[in-house]
Amino acid sequence: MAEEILKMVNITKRFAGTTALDRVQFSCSKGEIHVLAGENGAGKSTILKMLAGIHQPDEGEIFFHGQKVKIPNPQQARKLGIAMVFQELTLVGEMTVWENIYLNQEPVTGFLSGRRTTRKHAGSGQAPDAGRMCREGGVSGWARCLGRVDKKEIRRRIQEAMDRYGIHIDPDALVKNLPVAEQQMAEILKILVRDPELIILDEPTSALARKEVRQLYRIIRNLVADGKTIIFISHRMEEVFQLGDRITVFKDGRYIGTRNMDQISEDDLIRMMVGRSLENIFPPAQCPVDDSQVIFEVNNLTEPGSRTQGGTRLDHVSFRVYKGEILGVAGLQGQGQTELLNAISGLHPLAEGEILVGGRPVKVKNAAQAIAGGIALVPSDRKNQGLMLELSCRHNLAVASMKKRMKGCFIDRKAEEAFGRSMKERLSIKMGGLELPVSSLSGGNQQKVVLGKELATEPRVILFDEPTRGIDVEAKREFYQIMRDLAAQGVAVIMNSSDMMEVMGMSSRVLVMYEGRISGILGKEELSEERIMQLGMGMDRSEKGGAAG
Amino acid sequence: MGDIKNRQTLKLDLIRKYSGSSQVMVYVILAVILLAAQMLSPGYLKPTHMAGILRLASFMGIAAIGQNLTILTGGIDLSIANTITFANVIGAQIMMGQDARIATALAAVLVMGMAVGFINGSGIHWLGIPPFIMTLGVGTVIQGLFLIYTKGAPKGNAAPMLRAVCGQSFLGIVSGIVVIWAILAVVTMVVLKCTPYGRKIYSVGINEQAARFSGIRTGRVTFSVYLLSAVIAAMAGFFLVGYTGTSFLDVGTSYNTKTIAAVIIGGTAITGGKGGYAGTIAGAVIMTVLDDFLTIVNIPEAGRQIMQGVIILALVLVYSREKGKW
Repeated sequence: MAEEILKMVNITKRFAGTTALDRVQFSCSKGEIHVLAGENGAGKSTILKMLAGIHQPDEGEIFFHGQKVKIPNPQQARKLGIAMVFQELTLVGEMTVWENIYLNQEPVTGFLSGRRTTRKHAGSGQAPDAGRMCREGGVSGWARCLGRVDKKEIRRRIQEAMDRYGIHIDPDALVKNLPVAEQQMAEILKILVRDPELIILDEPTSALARKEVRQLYRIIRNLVADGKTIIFISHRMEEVFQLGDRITVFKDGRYIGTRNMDQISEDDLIRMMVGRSLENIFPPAQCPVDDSQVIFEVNNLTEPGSRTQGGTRLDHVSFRVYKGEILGVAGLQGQGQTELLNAISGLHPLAEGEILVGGRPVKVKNAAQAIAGGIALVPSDRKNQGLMLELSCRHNLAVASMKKRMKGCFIDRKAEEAFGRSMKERLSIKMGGLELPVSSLSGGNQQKVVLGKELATEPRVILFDEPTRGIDVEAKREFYQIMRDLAAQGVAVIMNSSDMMEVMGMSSRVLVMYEGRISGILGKEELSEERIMQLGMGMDRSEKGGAAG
Repeated sequence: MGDIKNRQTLKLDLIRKYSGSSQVMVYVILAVILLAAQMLSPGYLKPTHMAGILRLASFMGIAAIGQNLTILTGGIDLSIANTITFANVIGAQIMMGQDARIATALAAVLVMGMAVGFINGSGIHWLGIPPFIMTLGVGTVIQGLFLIYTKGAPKGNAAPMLRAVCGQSFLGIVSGIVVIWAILAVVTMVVLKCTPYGRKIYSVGINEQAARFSGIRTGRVTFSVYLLSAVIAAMAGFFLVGYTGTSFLDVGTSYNTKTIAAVIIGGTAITGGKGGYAGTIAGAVIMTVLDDFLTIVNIPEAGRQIMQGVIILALVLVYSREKGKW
């Protein structure tokens, strides 16, 4: 067996009351492709961000090349030769590819002398580390600020890295003009010029089309052939088996096991990842769907793209929700799911189309109108969109429905406190007190406050955008139960989720989106993960098309 | 034994709770400053002198209401100073020392205030111009306007009735302007704490996006605070005519800094969403006392300004240490 390059032992990490990682271990051999798998919220990104110097473990030790290390910041990670490509792209859109790649570590020529301070890397043929080269070249600190950026050298180095790993992008293109796939290549290139030893890729394929995924595989294999070690986070079964040498599975912040890829079947892997039957966490529907009663309807919802993004964000989206059902919304990241929910909630004033609640058209040019029309949204980003973190739980719970508890011109404080207590009980929110800032709550309880705020408006349609992102299993179960209860009470429930298990477990039908259009609506009998993936990647749109379900 | 321990921790909790709130902290600081002044200059706390301080503070306190609202929404109003001056010169020129013209003058001043607020609010809400830039620009335009209006030499003076309300004390203690300030202060605090409008101001200031997602028409809230701020500044400028008797072209000049300082010393976060008017009242009094006391002990203007600046920075530092940051 090859040398163990990385070993993490007994790692524990807590965030504001929830345990993200509970005494997990992880290790990696030199030159392998190691897949880290698990559901959303399993703690995969958390542990890898420790390697990148973004999070610190609360407990536990990290060994790199057998030496105990601490990685307090990204600079230290870089020094050790660890690089991470994040799920979210980090490039500056207004700059060119090469400017991005060498941002803040440009090789420079000396001030006045014009002396080139970088020198060829002693024949090793490796792409040199720009920061290190500058220091070695004798121009550092303040002198560096006075030097000119050595464009020629940058171009040479980028070309060298691209040739070596088979990447093709135009270094002079502005990043914002590149398709997502090429932006991602630029992101990878950005870390490659630093010649890292250990490369971490956090769900690199989530936004890529099939052909682009194959190209990425090729690049990854080239990297391994070059002696690099890869850690790869993925959800896609197919990918895991095609690419991985070994796999480690996490579940709910715990270590489940590590297997060689050739000794494990797909079924075994699913069992490791899920570890419980679907019915356990997803409560059964309480009443049958009554498809004679349409309680919510959207017709031809269309939204033009913004000036910077171009294209169409929503393209003639039409669908219906029947009484008693939960409609799932699925698709690859960024295909218009969030835009759809936001447009229905009045947050995109440019969107056009017809929205009917209980058969009556509702005008939604702003969120206030949507709420008045009986439409509520539990947004995906609870910290920025859902909550006023530094204000009290009472304020947050009451803010969307203040007018319901008035005494003349004033807010009826007593009624509001009673309302807060009843909502706390109804959703079993664990809080120190109604007057404490909502930031003192754990993620799951914060999310319940968002839900409570929306429920207080007595909606007839409730939209959930990624409702269980980053909350623990127990809170998830409670959320699912609340959704079921709402559906049974005749509220139209629509849930957008990137968690396939959740979509499969909760929805009576699933609406799949691709490039701002509905690429299909799957009924219970034809619902499968494969079908959702197919539709999600834009295949067979002909079938059932964008027709209302 | 256990009971005593409990009571002690309760006490500690209370201290922690209230010292954490800069709204209360500022009153402690005010008391310390007043005691220090009394010790260094015996007789400082005499009721008649305090009445004078309050009367002086009331103009700053009134103008700071508007500043407080804009800062609570995460903005700022830098046109307050010149709005005050413009209101001052318009008021004096229309009044011309006649009681009969007070109403006309006040109406003209309020219309001017509304116009300024409308322009500020429109630029910030509809055109998306940052409040700092918008109000600074509008303030400069107003300066040009009052120079044209007065041709550099303001005319007119206060009507006797206005002078009585703003410049004199009844029984040597209560003056009309302090009563007006008290009424406006109570209204402001009640609106901020007990009405949906107040809640909306805090919501927009702490997280505008979340406020919008919660169905608050954030644009309307933003627009309204700039409208109110300018109208209130115009009122302050009008009352100043009564205090000084005539008008000056630099009567309002220092009010941008003074109102911001009063609000910040009063414990409202410059980033918005936290604080309130209760602290600002003490902030306005502290600013006035500092200026007044330093004059009494014969520190020249330059020294007064330096010491005021240092004290403001020191207070802000105290708050930021409590909260981790401001």
